[in-house]
Amino acid sequence: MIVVGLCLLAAAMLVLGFEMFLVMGVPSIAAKYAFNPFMPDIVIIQKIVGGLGASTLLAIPFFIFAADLMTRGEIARRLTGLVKATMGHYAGGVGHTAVVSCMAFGSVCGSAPATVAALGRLLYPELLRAGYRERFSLGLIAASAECALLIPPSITLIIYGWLTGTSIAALFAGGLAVGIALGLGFMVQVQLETWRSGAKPAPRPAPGQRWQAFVAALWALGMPVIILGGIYGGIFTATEAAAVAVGYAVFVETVVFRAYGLAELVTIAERSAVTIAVVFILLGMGSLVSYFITLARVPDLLLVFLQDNHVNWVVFLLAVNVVLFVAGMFVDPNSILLVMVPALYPVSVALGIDPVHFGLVICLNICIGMITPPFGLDLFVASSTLGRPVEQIIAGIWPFVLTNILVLMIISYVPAISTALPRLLF
Amino acid sequence: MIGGALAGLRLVERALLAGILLLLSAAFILNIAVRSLLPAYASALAWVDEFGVFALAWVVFLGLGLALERRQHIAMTALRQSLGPAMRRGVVLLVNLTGLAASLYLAKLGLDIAMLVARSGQISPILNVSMVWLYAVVPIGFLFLGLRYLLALCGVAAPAPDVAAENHP
Repeated sequence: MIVVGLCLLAAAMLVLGFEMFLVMGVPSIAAKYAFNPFMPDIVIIQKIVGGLGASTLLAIPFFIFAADLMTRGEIARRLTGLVKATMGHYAGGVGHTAVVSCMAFGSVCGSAPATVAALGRLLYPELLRAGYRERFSLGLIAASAECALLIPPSITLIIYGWLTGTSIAALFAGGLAVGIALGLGFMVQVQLETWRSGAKPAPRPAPGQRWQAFVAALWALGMPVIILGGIYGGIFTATEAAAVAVGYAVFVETVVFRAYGLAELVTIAERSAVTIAVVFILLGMGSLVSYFITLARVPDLLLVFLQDNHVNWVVFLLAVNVVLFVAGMFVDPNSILLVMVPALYPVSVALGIDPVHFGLVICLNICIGMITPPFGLDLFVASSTLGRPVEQIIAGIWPFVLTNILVLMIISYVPAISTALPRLLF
Repeated sequence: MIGGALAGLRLVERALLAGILLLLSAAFILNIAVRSLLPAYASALAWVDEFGVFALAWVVFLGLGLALERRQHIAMTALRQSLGPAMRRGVVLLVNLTGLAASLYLAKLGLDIAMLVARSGQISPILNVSMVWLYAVVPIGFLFLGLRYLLALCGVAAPAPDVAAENHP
């Protein structure tokens, strides 16, 4: 009865627009008093602060900072320039450029909204000029940015790895395969739309232009080499790779490209720090929620229920996908991750699902939550970045949501796509 | 007077946030550089990981108030926007009151744990500094957050109207 009351309290706070850290924190504090009244109150702070103390999580502030440094600098523009020079003149090339640019930026940045913010203004006018419908162009940009959450580095996968103790490097390897699969899904969609709308490719680059674009992007290309090469070469941990990414971004943007000076660098650091606070207070509150979920033996009860009903991994993943899809429409994806994974992960292990495979299924659901109306974060970022009403972006997003669901089903029921690369590498 | 004090507080928060994040990045980069180029001296920088935990806590808790002021905290406010003006005012009042009460409660617990750690004399294993440095920022951060909720209640700052924040990952 009290549990139902607490769930209702959280739901009411959510729909009334309370800040998410309150939605997670206040019912958790109430749960402490309801179920564990003799537990010292300071456990609450211990759990919140303890949630920030894992060394794995330190990669996140660095990746957020590096993404902000690149978003406000030249790296995004130069990567896009190279992709366009390479493939823009083929049939559907401008649309494909949008998808592949998001994937390329995703390989240096672990955040989907940051990818929309960095690339949206570069890609949108090009798509319209090529003849793609406005609605399709808006949807394509918001959706393609999801690849950044899957292609390493990925903030979502780092959080999942921290919550479950799964190797970040293995998750990153799986994320690369799934990110490419999703990107290919969007490229098929671009090709169909190109035939339908008759959109024109970009003009063929003049001789030497492609080489110029490559030279211009050389410093930007160094970033994925450092991050991925460093992690898989055994030189860095994910956290160290993230710190090196910050150093490299500062060097390239301020010294090589001279995109901004010291004053702007300090401003970017300050803005990134506030973003880090927004993310990490959710992680801290998530630790608190997860603690009480474990104390209440929610995973055990869930497993007993599933075993009693003879639920196998196929049905379990279907149920997880449906629940996360619906939750993703209304709740912030990171919060879903923090609340659901501690309850679902032990069950997935008991049902024999590979932790990397389960992580990628969860991450793909988080991606879908980024673009599903009414509360998909990418929709709002695309709206503010491109200056278009959010309703117009929502109108264009549905075909991409369908592609996402199709890819999600394939990833859910063909585990090898997620697990083959990690097994090959480790 | 209040405006001047608030501007001063903001300046301190911003300077500390930028400074700590830059210092944290520099420390990790230095650590990797030394380990790669001068491995004999790598152990001299063993404190970096522990410093990272302390610095991250400072960034997170010091950033809470500014994030609220800038409406960057995630909140699903679409339903609230569809309410009538009187209902909306009521909900906003409830949100701000709850936020203020939760902030003050967590600040008090933060102070309790900081005092407890201070009394115990607990020292961090590698940096060899008091663990109070880790917990002291908790009451400070929640007090700054509570202050922003109080200001919102007094109508000095408006509550968050939007879900999106461009910087949010």
